[in-house]
Amino acid sequence: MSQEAVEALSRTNFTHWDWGIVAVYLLISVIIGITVKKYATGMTNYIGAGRSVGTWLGVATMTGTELGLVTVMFSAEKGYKGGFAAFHIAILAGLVTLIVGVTGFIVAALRRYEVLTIPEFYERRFGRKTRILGGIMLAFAGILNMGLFLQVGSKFIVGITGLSQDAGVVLPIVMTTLLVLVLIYTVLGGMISVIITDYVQFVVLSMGLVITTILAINHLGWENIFATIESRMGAKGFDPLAADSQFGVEYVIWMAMLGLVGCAVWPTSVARALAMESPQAVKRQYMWSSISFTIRFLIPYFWGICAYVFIVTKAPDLEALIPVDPSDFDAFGKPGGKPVGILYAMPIFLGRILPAGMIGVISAAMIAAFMSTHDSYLLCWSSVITQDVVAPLRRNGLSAKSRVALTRGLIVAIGAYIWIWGMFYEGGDDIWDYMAITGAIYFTSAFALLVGGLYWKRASSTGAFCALLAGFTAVLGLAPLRIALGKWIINILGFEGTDEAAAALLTSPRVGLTSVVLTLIVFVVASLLFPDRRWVETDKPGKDPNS
Amino acid sequence: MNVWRAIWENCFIASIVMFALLSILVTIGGAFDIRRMLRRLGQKESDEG
Repeated sequence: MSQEAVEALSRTNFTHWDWGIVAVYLLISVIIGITVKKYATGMTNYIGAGRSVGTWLGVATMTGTELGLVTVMFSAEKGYKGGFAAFHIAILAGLVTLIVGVTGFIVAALRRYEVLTIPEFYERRFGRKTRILGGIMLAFAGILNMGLFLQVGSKFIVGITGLSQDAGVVLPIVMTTLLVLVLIYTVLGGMISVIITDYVQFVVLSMGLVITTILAINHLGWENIFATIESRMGAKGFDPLAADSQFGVEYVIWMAMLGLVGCAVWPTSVARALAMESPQAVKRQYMWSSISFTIRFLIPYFWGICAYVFIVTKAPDLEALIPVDPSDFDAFGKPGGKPVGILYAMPIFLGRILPAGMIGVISAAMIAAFMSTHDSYLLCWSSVITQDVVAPLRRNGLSAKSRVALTRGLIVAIGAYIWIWGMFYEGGDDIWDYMAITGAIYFTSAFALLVGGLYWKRASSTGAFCALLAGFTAVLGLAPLRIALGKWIINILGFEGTDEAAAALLTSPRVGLTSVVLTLIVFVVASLLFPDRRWVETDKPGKDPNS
Repeated sequence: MNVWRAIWENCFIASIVMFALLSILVTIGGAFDIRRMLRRLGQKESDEG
């Protein structure tokens, strides 16, 4: 990297005081974990906080979990590349969450069953085999999905602190430190410490989001932001349905679907609903959380837009390093002949505009976002493996003490996996596809099983099992498989299959939506062809016979 | 384009204002919820113990 590039990347307002603020914040999180350890006795307390979470705390923990640093980073990139047109994703996510809150769709009905995990509901409704297969798929997809969180989140810290030029050395240190801290308080306190730290993280995060947004507008000027996007991107910077837009009708429908599964089917969100004190509290939690489900995308998009405007209007040194021409944006995160990826644009922008002191608070807020997502994900996947895979497979069951111990061990093991993944995985142009598709492996079938299991009496265990297997078709959305399949289809039709033609034929949203529809059809047809002979005894809300 | 700009401007401002209000409510209400949750968990622990 040239001397000019090194100088441009190391320019930041981050000082020793800011490091101090970050250190104090991290210390508080660990102390909370140690303090509440005494309450984390049985599994209901350890992974469900004793089902005693009130509405406001529920909103805080829901926001903390779903507003992760990885979301902030990728959303900022989406805003940088797509302009204000990306806002449609945030508005759809908020609207769908509000509808779920008003109706209680899936989540309130699931809370009535008093289950601790989604696969536990599968067993009540469809039998033990479905629970075990569902648990394996959920944990598999979820662990794969969070593989990149650590690396991408750590890039923010490296970018905002002006250490990007030494990323090769600094990134592993940041990754290891943050992971160890999260592991300490999650292993010790389980869901109780996760929820309380989520609350602290919400307070810091919400303050940081609002203040940073105001400072960004103040620095760039409201009119200048809109005018720059208009002149650089034209109509496609505002209209998601514009002819040359990055989005389009299918994409918008796919985003509405992702908004629904993100709040009502995704296990970490549902875990919050299941920890609430009543189904009514779940509804209130979702209604209020619809605001934060909007904000979790909207503000990062705006920061990405501001980073773009900053680079093209106020930072010529960065314009030479980071791609700004929309024609370079097609390759995900890849610089169009520039040495620095778009992912670094937003943290570098914040590092330059925020004053010393405030930058420490914002960094703490973003670390809060990072930690609150990691702790919840680690707890969620490990508890699913314990409750829904290992325990049902053992004839004599598992004692409460053994379950807590196993869950703690799995948290550490998953932590080790994401550390290794973050250390050695070189992000390419398929990261976003990878995350969406690994998530879809789980949620395409989970959506069918939850909706069918809760609202359709004729849903059968065979239908559920077949739907779980059909959900694997989502993996075809991964870029290499998608393009290979597209070429094959084009060749069968008698034309010459190129990569471009294949990618245009099978877009990620198209494959994802097809997989959802296919899974639903398989579920319905198999349920009608192979109905259950009798209702399972544990078919109604009540206590888990396996716990 | 002007219509889209107006839509996004209004959505953005409304969302920020609502989120700021929500943050205040959650900060205050959440503190009380934590106290209540820990009291319940403590009660459960002593009942079981």
